[in-house]
Amino acid sequence: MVAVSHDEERIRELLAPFDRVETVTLRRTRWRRTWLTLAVALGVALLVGGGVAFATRIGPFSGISAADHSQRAQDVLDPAVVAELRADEAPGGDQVGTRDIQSARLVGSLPSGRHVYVVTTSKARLCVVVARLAESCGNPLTQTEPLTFTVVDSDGPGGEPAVAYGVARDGVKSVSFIVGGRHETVPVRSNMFAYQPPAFVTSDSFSSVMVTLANGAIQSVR
Amino acid sequence: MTAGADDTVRLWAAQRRDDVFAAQVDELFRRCERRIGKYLVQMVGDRGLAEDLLQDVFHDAFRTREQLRHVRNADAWLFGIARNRALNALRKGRRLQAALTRLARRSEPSEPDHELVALRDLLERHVAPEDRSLLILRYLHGFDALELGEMTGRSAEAVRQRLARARAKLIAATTEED
Repeated sequence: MVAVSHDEERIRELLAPFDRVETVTLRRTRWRRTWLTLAVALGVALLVGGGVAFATRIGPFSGISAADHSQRAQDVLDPAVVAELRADEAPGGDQVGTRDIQSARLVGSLPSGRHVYVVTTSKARLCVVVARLAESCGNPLTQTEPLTFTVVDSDGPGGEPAVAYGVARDGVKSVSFIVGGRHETVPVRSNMFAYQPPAFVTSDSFSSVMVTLANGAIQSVR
Repeated sequence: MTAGADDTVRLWAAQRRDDVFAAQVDELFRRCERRIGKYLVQMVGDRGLAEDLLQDVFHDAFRTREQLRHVRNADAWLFGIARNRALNALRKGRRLQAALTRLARRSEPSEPDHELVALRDLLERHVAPEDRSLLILRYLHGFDALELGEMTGRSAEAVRQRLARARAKLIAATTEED
């Protein structure tokens, strides 16, 4: 027993220089600093620019460059989609608010070809609308919640396959998740990503959603 | 087929439940980040590589966060992930020895700590990476045999024996070199 203690003491002495090594930390510290710098720079730009640009950038489309422009012909929602959105709105109003149809901006399309739009609401929520398929609404994107993630379940054999999609803030390069036990990474293009799983899955099959930022930092999604 | 707003709200609520573990990993990382970072530098000797590995550990921890449901000692669990990452890097490093040596040289401080360099050299020549990891975790980070057993999938008794052999090997090596 004494010999063991002596050995242990000797090992501690031998390893002592290792105690002097300087630690490393996650790159997120640098990332936060970068974002802080960007935020300050953006603030200055907004003060200089002002006007409509200001209203757009601090609204529900904040951080979504693909939606940061005036409405073009392709952004206009089909009347049938508008009717669906209106039908979904609660008569007395709900936490989402009334959809601002004029705010619609096309951000991309799903593998099936269905168009994906972002829409703001009277309660400053961000809605992601897929024509004749789904609508998902929530708070505007932030640095800690940098993307929306919606899964539409498969219709079963012969039906429309499942699809996962969402809108991500500027600076998000890709989205990773585990689906059916497999780790998948999907690139973000023009603030949008979409993934069609090869086999039958449900929304419960997706977990561990993370984003990789343009600077290489990885962030879990709340 | 259509997932309306209500469906989506339910989906997001489900993700928030999952975030119990995400929040746990976040808190765990805040608490252990510097210790893990230090351990990785101690293991691989290269700060750039250690920084990369720390990112990987963070990613791994998030990816497997549901394991926390069954984990008794969360610190040991996280160090276990770091240990696996470090050992994998060292295994790959053996294959890319020359490149890594160049990297290590490049990231050495301008005035190297000679004692540290000598210790690293001694460990690399005489103690296998797995044993090196056990010695560092036991004597510099204070994990006991039971916790090390949880990290490595061995019994506490097997860890004690392995530690004893590693100690003997290192002491013999120092005596030999003296």
